[in-house]
Amino acid sequence: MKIYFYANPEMRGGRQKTISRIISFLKASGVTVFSDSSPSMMIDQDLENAQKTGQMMISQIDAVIIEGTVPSFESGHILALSIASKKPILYFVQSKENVDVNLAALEKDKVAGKYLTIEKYAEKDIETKIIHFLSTTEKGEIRQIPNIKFTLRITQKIERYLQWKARKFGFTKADFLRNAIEEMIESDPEYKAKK
Amino acid sequence: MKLGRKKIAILYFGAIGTIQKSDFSSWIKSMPELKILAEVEEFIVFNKDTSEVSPEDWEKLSVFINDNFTRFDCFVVLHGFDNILFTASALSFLFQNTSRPIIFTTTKDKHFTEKQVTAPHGLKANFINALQIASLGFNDVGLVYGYRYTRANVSFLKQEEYGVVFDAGLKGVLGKVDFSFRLYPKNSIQQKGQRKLYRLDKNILVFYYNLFFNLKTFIESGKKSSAKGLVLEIGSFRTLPQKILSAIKMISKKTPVLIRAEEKILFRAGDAVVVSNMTHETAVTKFMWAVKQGKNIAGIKNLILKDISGETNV
Repeated sequence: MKIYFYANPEMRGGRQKTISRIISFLKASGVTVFSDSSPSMMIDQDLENAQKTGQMMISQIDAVIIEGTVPSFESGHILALSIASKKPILYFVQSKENVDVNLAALEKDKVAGKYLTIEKYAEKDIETKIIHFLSTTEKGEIRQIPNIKFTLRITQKIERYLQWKARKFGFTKADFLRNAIEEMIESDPEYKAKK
Repeated sequence: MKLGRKKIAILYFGAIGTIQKSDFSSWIKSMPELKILAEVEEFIVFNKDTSEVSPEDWEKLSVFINDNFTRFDCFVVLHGFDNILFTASALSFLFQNTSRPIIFTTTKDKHFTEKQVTAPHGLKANFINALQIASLGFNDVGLVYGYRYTRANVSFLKQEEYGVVFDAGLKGVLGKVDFSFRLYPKNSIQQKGQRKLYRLDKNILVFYYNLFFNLKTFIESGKKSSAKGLVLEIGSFRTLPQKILSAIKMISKKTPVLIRAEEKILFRAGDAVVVSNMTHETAVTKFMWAVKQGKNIAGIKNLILKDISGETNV
């Protein structure tokens, strides 16, 4: 799988460790990473090769990961180009920061939202979130927006557990439950056979 | 995103791909990702196929931009593939010292489908690139096509193995755009001064020289009082038959004549002005502009030989 990774150069100084960690983890996961965030992955040659065939680089990659805590001119452009090209995008924002309102609206859009996943991350859960994104992308699944609401009454004990679990992994309680159900679906051969 | 989003006018100028006038607004609305890049507002300026475009339509475009100049930070013109170089070149003379980027883009594929929109030089990718380039602020009338960003009045069509592209000489390339931007500000003319809106002389006749060139029609056209000027495109010919040179010498005493060649020519042609440092589209539109402004043949000649908006930098 080929991933283009982008991080705002203005924040690279303070966040170089995080950026390096993301890139290292992607590489360790068997992903080919294109990025101009690291001198060893300069994409000039790849760009030149793509341009020789009249292609744009976006057509050569499978998905995009953006560290967008500090939005930039380029991050907006990469995001728009990727959505237009129907490429899955994981947009990372540090957990303490707010997500831009336009970006949040884009994630809820019925067309753009299929491709864009915004994830707030803490240092401890970056890898988990990347793995989830990679596995969804590899399966060729496009993101489904959860839009069915229902009321679920739970006990104090479950509530305490959900609070603890959500805090530990940096998910919301709803995300945690959704992921748990997704995993149950994946590991249920009887249900799969029915499908 | 809080990046000082620019306010951009998107101008529909002729059917582009399969997008007709009636589809234009919904096509723009089908791209919510544009809101991340800029605040856009769309307008229909020309609603026919661009094979039917005329100098009057070029003037309408320049007037439209001038009338809306202060409302927007930049202008992106979505133009049908045919005649885009004529329209963009004409605009670089009609509208000078713009201080706002005006970017043209298009797609070649007349029959693109939704699946093909992001194919090489597909409209959506070109459009998104054009929007971003417009936000960057070079004041040249530019052309964005594929990964290339060129000054429109020095751009030309080029056949590559994979299809047709627009390109420009080294000094006409303003940037390259893909995931990242590489811009060449030294190549931008960065016009300064007060913006000016001009008009064109539409009574210009254009002839193309080849072995079957009709000299009689050429001479008769030169004598007609309605023709304010003649353009003779000779392409890669380096000499012309004596009888044609004699005719040019005779006509150019009274009527402005422009000869456009691919290379420096080896003959003298009376009072005709000869250029080989401009593209065909630029030479024709600049001549229309110069004939309208110039008071006499010498004045027109001076205007043609002077660089107005970076057009001689081929």
